[in-house]
Amino acid sequence: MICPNCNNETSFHDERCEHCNTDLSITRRLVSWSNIYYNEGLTKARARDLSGAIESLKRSLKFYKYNTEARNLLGLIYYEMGECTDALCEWVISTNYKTGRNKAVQYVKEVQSDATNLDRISRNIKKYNTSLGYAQTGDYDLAVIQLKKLHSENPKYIQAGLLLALLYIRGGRKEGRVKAYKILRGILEIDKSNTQALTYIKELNDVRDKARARSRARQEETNKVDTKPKNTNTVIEDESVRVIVPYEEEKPMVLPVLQVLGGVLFGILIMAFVVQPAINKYKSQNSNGQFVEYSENKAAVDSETNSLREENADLSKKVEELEAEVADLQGGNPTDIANYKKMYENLIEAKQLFEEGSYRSSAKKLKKVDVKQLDSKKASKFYESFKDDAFLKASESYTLEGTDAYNGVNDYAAGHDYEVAMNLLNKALMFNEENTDAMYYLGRCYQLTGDTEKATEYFNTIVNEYPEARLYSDAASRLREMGYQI
Amino acid sequence: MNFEDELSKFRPSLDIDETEEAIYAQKKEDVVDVIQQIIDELKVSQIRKRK
Repeated sequence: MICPNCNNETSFHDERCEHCNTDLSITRRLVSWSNIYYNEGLTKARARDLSGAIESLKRSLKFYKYNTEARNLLGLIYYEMGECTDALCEWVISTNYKTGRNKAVQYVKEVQSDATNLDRISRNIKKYNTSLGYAQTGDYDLAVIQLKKLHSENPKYIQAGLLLALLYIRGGRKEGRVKAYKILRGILEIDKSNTQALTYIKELNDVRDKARARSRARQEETNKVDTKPKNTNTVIEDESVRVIVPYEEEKPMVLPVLQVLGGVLFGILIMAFVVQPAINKYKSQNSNGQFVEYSENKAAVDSETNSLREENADLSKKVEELEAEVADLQGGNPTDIANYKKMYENLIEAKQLFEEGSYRSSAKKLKKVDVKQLDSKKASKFYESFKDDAFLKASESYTLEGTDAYNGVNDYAAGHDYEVAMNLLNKALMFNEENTDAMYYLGRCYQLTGDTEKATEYFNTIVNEYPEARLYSDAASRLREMGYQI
Repeated sequence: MNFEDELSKFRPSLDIDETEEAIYAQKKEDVVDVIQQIIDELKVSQIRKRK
């Protein structure tokens, strides 16, 4: 672990930096969170959920940028998906943060040492960018020609495959849709949860159903077993047994053909059961070798996080000691310090909830933070960096649910619930006073429950102060309905 | 599915020559840095108050 104060290497288990005596309790907590996200990313990568793994690893690095294991794995995933430049970026940054005993040094050497490989990568990227340019300017045929060649040489270049599939789907032809389906299946084998691939493959349900029907028919064919009983007579002569097969007319055209087909089938079975598994084993050993190494590292990280949990009780004691120190420095009373501490905890939790996508909870936590009491400019800047986004997204989320309750749809399919709708829309306005959609639907709820005075207030606000609002004309017509001249 | 919307989601890939620029353009700050800066500013403001 790197000490954030003096930037020297220090052990994760140290409570204080051995070089500058800085308290490392908060840093250790953040490093633990980084490791938790790294473990999550590693599990997802091993399950081939590469998109999910990228999200987890990026979060891990947001908490602790020196997590070289997370950064190296992120680079590997980018490389697997064909994004070689992004992979190199991560590995180069990793080598800058940690020079000794770092796998990234080896990865960068391997990529850069082979000039032919580098040249090939650069050409592929240029081909993809050119094809994208063609597609964006409407030259779809040229784009398809370039991308077909690129994809056949680099089936793991996911962006190229997705663009080609999209162009095939746009073409609308049956054979194009079948090709698109095969490409998307290939992409989903590399990255199980690739959102774009899943979206596109939904458009190809007809192709998928036909493929399944064909596979079922083939399955039924191979399950058929053809048996023919043979008649035999036994004749005992001089203690020997001879089996006489009764005479059957020869079918000259069928037997040789059957024998040839039997030989071919035997060869296919040998390939399928002997040769192919060996090839697959070799391939999976190669491609999974790196992940096996990371699983060894993961075991070490797991034991570190377990020991941190065991030390949880000690941390509380350390916090009390810290509070005493701060009280001594400030000369203030313990209640102020506790409030101060709670406020910063709320700020950190709000940021974490925001990163996880829980915008309502993040916004509620931020509401508890009094920005005027934040002494530090950096703390205020940290608060401002995501507060607007969190409030906006929380307001949108409340508006969506509020309009569902107003319309009686989705979770409120049982019927219109104007009380609940008003409660949710008021919360939406609490986080964004200029949310005109929330104002409009709140006005409608008041209008439909008989409170025309309040309804008029909201509609008037939209008409007078937000002439550019999406629901301006609806608000104006509601006012006319209630007898006002607009 | 809207083709134009889907097409607009595609971005050009960075070329190998642009690796250096991409590295410099990356944000170097993490939550540990932010917390440390907050602590440093608090220490400075406390020293000023004592004076």
